[in-house]
Amino acid sequence: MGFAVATTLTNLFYAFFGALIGTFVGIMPGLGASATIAILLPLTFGMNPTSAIIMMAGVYCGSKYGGAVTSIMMNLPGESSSVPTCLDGYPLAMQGRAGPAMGMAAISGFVAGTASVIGLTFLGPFLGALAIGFGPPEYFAMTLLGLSLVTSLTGKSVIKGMLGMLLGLAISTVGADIMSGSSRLTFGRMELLDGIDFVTVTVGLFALGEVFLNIDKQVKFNLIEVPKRLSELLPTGKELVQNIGTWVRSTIIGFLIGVLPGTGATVASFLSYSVAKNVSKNPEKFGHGAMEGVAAAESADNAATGGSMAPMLTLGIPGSSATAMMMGALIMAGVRPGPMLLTKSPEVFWGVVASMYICNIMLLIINLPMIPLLVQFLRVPYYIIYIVIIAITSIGVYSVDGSMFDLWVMTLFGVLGYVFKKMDYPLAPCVLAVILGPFVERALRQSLIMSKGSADIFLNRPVCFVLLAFAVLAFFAPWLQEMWLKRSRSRLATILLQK
Amino acid sequence: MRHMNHKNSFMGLLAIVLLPFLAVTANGANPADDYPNKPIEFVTHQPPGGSMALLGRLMDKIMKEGKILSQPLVVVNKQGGGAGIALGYVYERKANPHVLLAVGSNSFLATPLREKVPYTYKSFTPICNLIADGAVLVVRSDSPFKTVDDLIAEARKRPKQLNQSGSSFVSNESLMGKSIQKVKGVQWDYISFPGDAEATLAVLGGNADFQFVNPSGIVEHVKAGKLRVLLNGAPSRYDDFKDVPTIKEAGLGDPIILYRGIAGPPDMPEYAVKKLEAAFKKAMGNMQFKKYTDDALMQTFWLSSKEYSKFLDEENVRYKGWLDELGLLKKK
Repeated sequence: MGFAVATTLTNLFYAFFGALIGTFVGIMPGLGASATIAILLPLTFGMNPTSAIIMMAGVYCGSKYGGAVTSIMMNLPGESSSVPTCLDGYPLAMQGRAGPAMGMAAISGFVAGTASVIGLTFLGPFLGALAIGFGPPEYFAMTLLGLSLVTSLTGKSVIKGMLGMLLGLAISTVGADIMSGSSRLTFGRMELLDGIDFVTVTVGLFALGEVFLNIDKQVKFNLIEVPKRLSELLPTGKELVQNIGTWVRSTIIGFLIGVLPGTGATVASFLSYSVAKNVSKNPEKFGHGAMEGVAAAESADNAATGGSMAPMLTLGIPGSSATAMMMGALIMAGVRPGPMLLTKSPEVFWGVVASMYICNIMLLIINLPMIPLLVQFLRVPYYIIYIVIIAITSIGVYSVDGSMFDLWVMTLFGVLGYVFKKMDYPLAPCVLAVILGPFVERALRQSLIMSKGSADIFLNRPVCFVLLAFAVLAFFAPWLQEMWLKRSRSRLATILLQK
Repeated sequence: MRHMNHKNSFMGLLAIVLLPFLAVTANGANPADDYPNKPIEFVTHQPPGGSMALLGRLMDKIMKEGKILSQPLVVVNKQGGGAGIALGYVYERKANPHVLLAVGSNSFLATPLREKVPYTYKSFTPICNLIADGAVLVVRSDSPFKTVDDLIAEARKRPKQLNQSGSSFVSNESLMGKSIQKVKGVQWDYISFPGDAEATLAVLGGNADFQFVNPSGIVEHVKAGKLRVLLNGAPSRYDDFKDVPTIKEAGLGDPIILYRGIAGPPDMPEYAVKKLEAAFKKAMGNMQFKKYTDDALMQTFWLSSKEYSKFLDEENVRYKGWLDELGLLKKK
């Protein structure tokens, strides 16, 4: 029935339109799916609610695909969930493999996005229960698990990674405290009352930092050679097959965590990146151009879209600002998402699900052929590219709040990013802390109010306890992995010697 | 003959040159007739997609269709600083009749009381109030509390043990909880969540005991039998919850309600205020507006410019009191 709804000509058009806009928007940092949906909202006033939400779901899915493009080509994460894609995508681009990286991103996104919609089809109503059961202690455990991934992201020096993380945590405290209202580290400036937006931080640290570094290195012409043969512009068949395991793992992680309101996609992509690194046979490659990294991050990110639609549609609880906008549009159109949606207006739910299948297919068809085209961008001499990067980042950051102050903050972080790179500090831990810091702190304080100050609450609740155990495990994972590798390699050596 | 021609053309030229000056003086003599002659900015502190932004667009649509105003309303989003950015923006446009502020009484009154800013609510020109956005008290349907008295009795037995979830702790919903605590002499804790939706989730998941929340967020859950409404924090009863008493009826003090209205910059010309007041009043009678408020479970609450001004005075006294208790008034 849903397919009947989704394949009407008008709805197909809306899906395509949404997907196209979404891809474009994903490429621009700062201008995310939620802002775009908000801008498109007035258009939906007269529209049939199913068509409206099909268009918006298209934007949502499209923005994930677009976000990968700039992550890979310019080290510019389009959204917080695209950050892990930068970690390996950009090095791949620098090695002349931007095409394969983007192809891997698109294909992973397709596989995971479709899988998550299948999950939504069959598990949709049950996912609501998952979201309900997740209270502040579970949130705390989960976001702490996210933070504990720091050790997997540090590269060679763990101390430097931790320092980055602590700095990130400090930055995340800037603003008015949600619980008591007191201003922290705002220096009396009203613009800082809402904290420093992570887009500003990430864009500054990653993209601008890279630009400054390249200026320092006096890079004038293209950074790399752009291959001309089509076979070099897409991932090899071998690489695709190698990543099937990654896809399965990351999709499951992305889908389940995407269900949870708030952090959803970001924690999902970081977590699946770390998991991929820890189960990989070549963990050292991560951070320097491992296809698995891109595959893991992008699968989780796209799987999270399907997951996050579930609580919005079945409970009326939006999982992210983009789904919140969609909900607003539905309400304005007279459809009220929530437990009654499936019984009262099933065609909306199934129409959305069916159109997401179609969107994913459309996006793959749109994106893959675009890769040879997009890759040509890298042939432009760097002294032009870096101006484009600065322009795009400035527009993106300005579009968040329309504030010049934000641009100064972004520049400051650009300088910081440059310093980080010069002194060989990893960027990912800092960014991860900026994103997750507020969630961890808030969840901790909420839990303590609930338990009236007792820490037992974290140990008495099974899900929370399990997640905390995982957090400890994840924190020590790199050392455990090293020990495991050493033991298995020495065992292998002993066996070989004996022969 | 030639001399005459020159004189004629000279007079003609003079007339043409002087004509614009006539037009200007004609304008200057009576700007009221001409108003509005530019698109009117509808400034809101909410991000795109917020309820006030939607209201602005709806009003623009209604006024266009009903030919109520000759110029469009353009929504301008100035989010941040707890409405401070929007307030500052409108404040700087003194006497400009083409700028409007979409007012949410909470942030409008509270922000100048809490932050060091050059204005207070009195600096602005009240035009009218449109909506009363109340809240209701909900508990999970399997909760032992069947009436609000049960809840209060339990709070008295176990002080500071019950948990109220909600969004910002300076939101109306939080203050409403505090007000009842004061009236009844009981105490409970408040857990702050990023938004109403997450706070509702906490109640649904058994992680909080109850929540004061805007009814539009929970009406579906009530219909599905997952939540129960105990108390109504609005001026009058809601159609959807006919049996639920209001705070006043239950003797629990005065409800703290979010009033949505329109204000103008300082020293806004009187003719502009009058015209806008009439325009909004007319727009309120439109079926689309009624549908909007019905769907969003808001109650219409019209106050004229003068009534609004007096009303804000009274509300400001109350807000000052609560913020003082919470220790949030700015230091002099």
